[in-house]
Amino acid sequence: MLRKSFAVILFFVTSGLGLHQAEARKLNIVTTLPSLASITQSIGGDYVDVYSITRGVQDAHYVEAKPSYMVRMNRADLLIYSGLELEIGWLPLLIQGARNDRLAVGSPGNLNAAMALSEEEVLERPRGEVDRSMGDVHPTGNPHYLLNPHNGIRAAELIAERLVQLDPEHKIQFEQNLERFRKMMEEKIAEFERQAANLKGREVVCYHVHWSYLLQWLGMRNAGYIELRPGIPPTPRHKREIIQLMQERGVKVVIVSSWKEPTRAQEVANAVGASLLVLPGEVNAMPGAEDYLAWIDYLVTHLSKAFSQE
Amino acid sequence: MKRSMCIILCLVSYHLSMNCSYGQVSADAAATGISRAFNPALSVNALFDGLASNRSKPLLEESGLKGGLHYQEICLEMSANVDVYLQSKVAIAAEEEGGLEVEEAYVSTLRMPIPVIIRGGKMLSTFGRHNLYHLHHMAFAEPPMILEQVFGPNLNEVGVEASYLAPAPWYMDITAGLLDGKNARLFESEKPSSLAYLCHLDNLWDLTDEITLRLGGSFLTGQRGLYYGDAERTPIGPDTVGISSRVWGADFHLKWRPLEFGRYHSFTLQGEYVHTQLDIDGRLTGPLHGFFLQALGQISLMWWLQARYDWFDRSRDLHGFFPEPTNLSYDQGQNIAGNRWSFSIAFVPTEFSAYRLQYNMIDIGGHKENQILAQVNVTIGSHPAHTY
Repeated sequence: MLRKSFAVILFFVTSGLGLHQAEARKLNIVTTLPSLASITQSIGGDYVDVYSITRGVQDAHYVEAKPSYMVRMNRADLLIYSGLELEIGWLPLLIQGARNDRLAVGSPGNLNAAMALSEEEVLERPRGEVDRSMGDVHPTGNPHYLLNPHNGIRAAELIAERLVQLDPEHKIQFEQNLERFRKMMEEKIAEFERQAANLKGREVVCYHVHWSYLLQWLGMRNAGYIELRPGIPPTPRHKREIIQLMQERGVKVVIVSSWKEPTRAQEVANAVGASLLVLPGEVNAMPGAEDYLAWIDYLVTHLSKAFSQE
Repeated sequence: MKRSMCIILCLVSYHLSMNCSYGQVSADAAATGISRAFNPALSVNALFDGLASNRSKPLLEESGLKGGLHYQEICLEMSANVDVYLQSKVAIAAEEEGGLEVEEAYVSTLRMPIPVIIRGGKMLSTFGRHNLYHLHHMAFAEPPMILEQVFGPNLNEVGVEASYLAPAPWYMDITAGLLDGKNARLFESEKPSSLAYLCHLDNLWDLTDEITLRLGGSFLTGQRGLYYGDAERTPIGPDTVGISSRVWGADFHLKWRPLEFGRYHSFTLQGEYVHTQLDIDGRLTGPLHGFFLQALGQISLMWWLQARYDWFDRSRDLHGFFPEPTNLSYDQGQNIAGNRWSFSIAFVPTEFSAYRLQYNMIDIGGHKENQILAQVNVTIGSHPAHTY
């Protein structure tokens, strides 16, 4: 009986190891965000299988550590995540539960995409003390850096470097794909910047601290936030204050990301006769934002349109 | 079983020997100095409650709940990576009149050559799902009745557990464990070397992107001391040579959380059935069994509506092996069946604070009690995320 049990255990253990070896032919990659998945697919091409844990319609701050994600990660060769503590509430549980030595922090299979940015390039890194009375503050800075397409190129370079390290056989293909991606993005960025020339210096009010990298890239300014603190809904008094501020400064556009419930943002916009712009918070969050480039295109086009209709 | 232990020990020793230099540098461990960068994540959770009951001795005394205003529990949790290979967690709980208890203090592996996590130390054992929850993680102010009756109220022994992620298309986790066998309600054998053995099978399927179904089964066995379950621990007569406790459990968990606006709505249906058996010199009896079923609905960003039904039957415990877990005057630990309906509304403004109003309708052996509980749940510091 004991021998039989031992044989069954041995079968499961060895078949688990065999599975890893069999899947090593094509790099199996798990990303935390659809935007990272899209960039990775552009660089990895036919030599990678990419799966994003979160969907575009999900708010990546509040994902649950579903054990089914652990199964995906158990079989992965590479994990790519946003970093800057965006996934702090769930990714550590998944990494541990995946029981995959290759994804351990510090291993080649663990890539923090935020490493593409220097410390100075990270926006809204709190200076001085941080505590929870300030709301859901990211102590290491704003993690939504892919909203600036220049940062998307930097992330692609970092990802390409890691793909070459893990699969040197396809180094040339990865480097060619990177070059193609970079060229395409640079051309489109120049086009976007021409298209968005009317946005320079314009002010918006955002529901949540999310759009800072996009606004900075386009030369826009954020006049205030509808949330009382990051992640905390506004009080009636705070709503009145933000309405007053919008009236004083003539702000005519309110931005809310697609995964936030828009009722309160709509109330504020209605109170001052501003337009409410619901923008996709991630790749695939809304129709028309199916990949990284399409996402940035959607954001620029709709922002430009909102201000041209003013 | 000795062979199983050998396999586990071999795996642990292989894993530790992967870096041979570890032993050589361990004498210089203090070289990390006093850098605060390596301090453990530290959090304190405080549970305050108020209880009103139509009986003078409320049922929940065992859980630290008493009439009037009290703190139910203050729990200090620390967790950190020990080194490249191990992670550690310590949870120390203080109750108002219960002194300090080390609820958990264990290490778990961070990396292994096979998809296994080994945990060792004092920890909440993987029997079902609910036993893994700390008090502040529970959806209601007190643990389910059946877990209080069987484990009183937690199974948190010193032991070793190995959890293997099976290569199945769905999530299948197989856990095997060796426990110290000191639980007063189940084991505490006179033989100092007597261990208890645990196994658990956990399965989870994504029915859709928004709905998961989890089904699990647990089994626990170990030698029991030769005494009855009364306060005096009356010895069983010399005719009885050995008693072993066996506990079977089945758990399920159905959860819906929409992808879009998932922060605002969710629904969970969760239940566990636990059945005990005593093997008394080869004769089997089933003195205690029961279940709980709970429904948790998140109706908006900050509001939850919850209901639970508890049921247990101790009517076949003719010899009083499972004493009453509470100080109820009417629960004498024999021939008793009981149930409890609980309804609660919770206001949860952030992940770090929650306010709950709960109503309990209890019927034990025909004695009825109504309770109203108010609970405040506050967490400060860096608290590790809760499991799914």
